[in-house]
Amino acid sequence: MKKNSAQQPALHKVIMVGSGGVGKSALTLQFMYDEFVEDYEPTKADSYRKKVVLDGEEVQIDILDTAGQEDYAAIRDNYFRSGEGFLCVFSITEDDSFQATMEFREQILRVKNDENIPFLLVGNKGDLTDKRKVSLNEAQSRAQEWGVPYVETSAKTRDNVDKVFFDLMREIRARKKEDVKGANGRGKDKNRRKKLKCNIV
Amino acid sequence: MDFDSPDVEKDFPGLYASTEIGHKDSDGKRKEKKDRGYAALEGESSPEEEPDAKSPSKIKKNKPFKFPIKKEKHEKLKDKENKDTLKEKKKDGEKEKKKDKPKNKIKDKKKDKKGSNGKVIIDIGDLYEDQPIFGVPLEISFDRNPCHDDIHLPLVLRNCIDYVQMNGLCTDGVYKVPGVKSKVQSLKVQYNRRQSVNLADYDLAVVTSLLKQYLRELPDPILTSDLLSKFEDAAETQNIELTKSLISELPLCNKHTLTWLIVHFTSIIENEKYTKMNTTNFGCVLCPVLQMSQRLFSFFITKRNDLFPGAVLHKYIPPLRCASPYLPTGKQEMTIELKKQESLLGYIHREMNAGFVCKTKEEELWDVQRIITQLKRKLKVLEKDSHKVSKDKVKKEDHVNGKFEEVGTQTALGRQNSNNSVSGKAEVGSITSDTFNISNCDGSLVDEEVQTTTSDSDNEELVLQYESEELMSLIANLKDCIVQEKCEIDRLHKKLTSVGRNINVSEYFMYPIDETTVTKNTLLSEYKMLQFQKVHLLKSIEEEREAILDLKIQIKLAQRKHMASA
Repeated sequence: MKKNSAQQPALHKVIMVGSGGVGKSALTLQFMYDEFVEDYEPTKADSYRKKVVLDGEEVQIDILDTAGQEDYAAIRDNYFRSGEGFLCVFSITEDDSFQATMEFREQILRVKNDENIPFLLVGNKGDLTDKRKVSLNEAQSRAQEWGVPYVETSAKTRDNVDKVFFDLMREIRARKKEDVKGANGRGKDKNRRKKLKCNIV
Repeated sequence: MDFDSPDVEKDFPGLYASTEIGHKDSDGKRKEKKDRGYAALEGESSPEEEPDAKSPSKIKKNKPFKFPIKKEKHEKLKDKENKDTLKEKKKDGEKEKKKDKPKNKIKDKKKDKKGSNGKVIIDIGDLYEDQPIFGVPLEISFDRNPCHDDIHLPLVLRNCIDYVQMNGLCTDGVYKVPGVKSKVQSLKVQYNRRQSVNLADYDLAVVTSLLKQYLRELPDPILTSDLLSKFEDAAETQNIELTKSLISELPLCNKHTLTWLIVHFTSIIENEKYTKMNTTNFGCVLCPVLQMSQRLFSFFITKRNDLFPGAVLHKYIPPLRCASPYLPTGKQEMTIELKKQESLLGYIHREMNAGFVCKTKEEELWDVQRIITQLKRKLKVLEKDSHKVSKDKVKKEDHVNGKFEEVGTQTALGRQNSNNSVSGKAEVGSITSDTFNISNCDGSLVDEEVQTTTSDSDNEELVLQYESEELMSLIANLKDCIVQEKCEIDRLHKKLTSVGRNINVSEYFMYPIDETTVTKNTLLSEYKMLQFQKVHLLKSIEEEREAILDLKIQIKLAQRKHMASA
């Protein structure tokens, strides 16, 4: 545990946010253990670590699965502060959850105080096309507005599950490299990042 | 990056404090300082006899960086004062310096952090200083320094009591002999700063002094100012029932603290033969600190069994700090550990909400959260498996196939899960899991018997590779077993402490008592026999294991062939 920083692979800290029942835990468990849990059980907070190979480099990913319910908002800040990247999840079958992403984004920006924090907007339950309430267009335009990528996933079919985690890790990695490189010119970096981000959608 | 500073501290807890006042390293340093102190004293006391002009130059030499002119004036004034007060003042100065140094060091470190990060980080050391563990009401102190089991005793007290129970029950004059003040002070600072403290590095006297100091600094008596007089009255009339009801009126922290202290003190007094501390002696030493009369104290001690029936001290086992491989596997142990971890998590959140935010704290938060998640998962798996035994086998098979694709912690978790699924009880764990393996292997053998026969001609490299894989998994398995055994040992230790209540010394397994030797002999012979049986069993298990290994390799080869042909 303590030798981490010296020799062990890079560690990227990812936080799952989003309203209750959108499938944050389902995505996490699918990514971690290749399992899909049908029965819904609200999360308070859970944390996982996994070794993965990211573009040929062995890295560790720490995933913190947070509570969607407002009841646990008090402890959320403590977690948000330590996150390096965020997967903001909503369910494409539930418009409320989509609206709620605004609040989560705001809260994250407030805590991290950083517009360019690695962040992905994730529309989950992509397999339930017949129940879709949030159009692809809507979601994409919001993502564009924020300057973040939008990805649709299905925790059930494992569609794009790996993609969202790996994409986010790439962003985190790029961000870390930037931070090391350009401690002097932050403003410049920000602009460059913006440009990079917009074309991912 | 600000990774370096907290990590160094993490790797060597108490590093910064110890360079100053710690145990081994500092001795040399401190001597130096003392020498310097004497030298300075000589320098200053001598001018009284010698011409005044000489002293400033000397001082200049010693402390070149402090404003020389001011100093000179100051020293001159001091020279006029009489020698004794001068000496005293110097001593005080020396003490203050000692106290201040560790703080300064940590502050410097924090400043570095600020500089490199560019952000303004609140000085955590100062924050801690503002919210100390010493000198605040018991309950607050417990909140800031909790035990994570169900005992509401500030950790510092618990640590001290554990230490003395282990090391001091047979020491002459325990609690009477004072410890080195600077060391006590440094321990206090370490606790106040929430650093991890290893009391084992310190002498018994230092630890007992620390405990006394803690109690002395409590703003309210343990018996509370409201109830104190009632307690005294009850002791005067030797009224046990009344005292008991008064005890039950105490706040939880006070109740636990009182109970633990009295039980602890009783065990010292019961060992009067070694400790030379009888109730009166002991009372003399501790009553002022406990803020109770000698009469009340001896009432507590003599009526300990009536007043605190069934009260047993047990050593504090802190929550685990490292994930997967060391987690317990028994259901009960896991539940206990989970409770501890959740308490720890709550504590971390509390601290963070109080403003103690730093990299190490955040890492701790994630680590603890991860352990909780793992424990919960394991418990869930355990529960599920007790319902669906039949499904278990399928899982196991999957597991055997997919084991080597998994990596890192996940492997450990998965393995333990499947282990749990097989073994409910810790001890039989290894054996049962092996037998399951056998049955699994048998199953697949029947399926693929045809291929197995042809496999022996396959290239050796593959065999070796598979063998090493199997051996690796065996190693992992054995490691798990070791962990399980450790849990068992812990459990037995606990049992021992609770059983050994009536034999009070051996309770902390130090000096065996004479009366037990007779039964001991019979037990020993029994033990030898069991040992013999165990060796035999172990041998057969080993043989079985080897056989399993061979079979597994054959299966793999067969599977490979099968795949290739298909």
